[in-house]
Amino acid sequence: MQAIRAVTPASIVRARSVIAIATLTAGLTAATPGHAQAPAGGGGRRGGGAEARPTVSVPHDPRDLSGVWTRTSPLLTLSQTPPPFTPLGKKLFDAKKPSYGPRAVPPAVGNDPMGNCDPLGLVRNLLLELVAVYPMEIVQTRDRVFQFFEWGHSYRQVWTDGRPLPKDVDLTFNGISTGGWAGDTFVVTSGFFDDRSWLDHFGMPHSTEMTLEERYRRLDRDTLELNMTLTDPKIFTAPWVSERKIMKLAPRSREIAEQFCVPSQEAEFNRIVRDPAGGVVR
Amino acid sequence: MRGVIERCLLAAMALLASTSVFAHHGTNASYDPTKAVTLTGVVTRFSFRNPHSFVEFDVKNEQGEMVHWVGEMNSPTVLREAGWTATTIKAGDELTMTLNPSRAGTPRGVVNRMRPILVNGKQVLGTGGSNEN
Repeated sequence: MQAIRAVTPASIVRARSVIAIATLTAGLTAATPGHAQAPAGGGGRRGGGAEARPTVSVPHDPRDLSGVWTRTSPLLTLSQTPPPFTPLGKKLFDAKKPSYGPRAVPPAVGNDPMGNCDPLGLVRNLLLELVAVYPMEIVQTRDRVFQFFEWGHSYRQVWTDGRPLPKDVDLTFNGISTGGWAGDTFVVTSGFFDDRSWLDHFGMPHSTEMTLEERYRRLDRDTLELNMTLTDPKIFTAPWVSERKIMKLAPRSREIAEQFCVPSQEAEFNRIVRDPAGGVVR
Repeated sequence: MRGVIERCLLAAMALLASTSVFAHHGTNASYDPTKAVTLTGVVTRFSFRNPHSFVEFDVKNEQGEMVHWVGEMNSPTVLREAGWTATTIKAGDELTMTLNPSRAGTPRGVVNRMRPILVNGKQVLGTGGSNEN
């Protein structure tokens, strides 16, 4: 079994660079001619480049974020430079045993909630959708914006009817969100997160006091930009500002599939495959 | 900084060269991407379900003993994109595929879809797959 070592956020940056490039490379390797294509100027099923390239824009409403959006960022976390941990943040980070990155252990001996089909939580949902094969759909209604995440077949809602965030409410994995427009930027503020979820695949922790600001901007018809600022003074000594995440509009043929993480199936998979593969007999 | 970038590129190239899988949950922690074993056996079950698919098959080893192997695969969503269906492999089929075996030495492995996969002697699907989660 691989030793589990304490690693600081700064020290995982280097390894994440490797992961980022390798993930991008894997994605490139996976691209085959048979994959569906986006409309002209759009990203493919597996996304486009890491940089937003404003094009001669097909007419679009910048305040309409509707569509199925797929990732282009290869980075599976907010940014390559997390802020320093508080002592509590470091303690919680050390207690988590991920199966990705430099601290990776076989899932059989790890404690990633994903391995039991537990909910990923909003931040990890956003990051997963941004970099993995599973896209996200945005649907706008009169008083809410919905985001449907393919992985886990879950959704979050953002209230846009002017209500403030509540003062006291039960904690949930995707939190409580309100949003509104600042020019052509859709600004979402969220809080009241259940702290059982991880922020990313690498075991970054958060507390119930975490708040998140998301800023969405449709750069052109086919390109959606997202910037995030995560504030959690119990875990991090400063706000964590994300890199700029870019999503590309998927072809109309790409619908959100029923990608439940089925707990009974995952339990069977763990018993038949994952545990023996990790040398664990239960 | 340049050194870091060079090391990252080298690591990425090494991953490509090894034809290993990447980003699947815990793949390189559980399985050894530097080793590959090509097996031929008879399928007992193909589970094409979320969140992970897997195939079970019986393989006769060099001593003539039957060993029950299980190959880990991606979710149906990912496999479908590469052309797989729930009936691509069926119980009773003769199957040849290459696995990166378990580091623990158990008859488990992650299926390397970059290598040819033969069902009843015919290559049905093979190169070009990634094993992203």
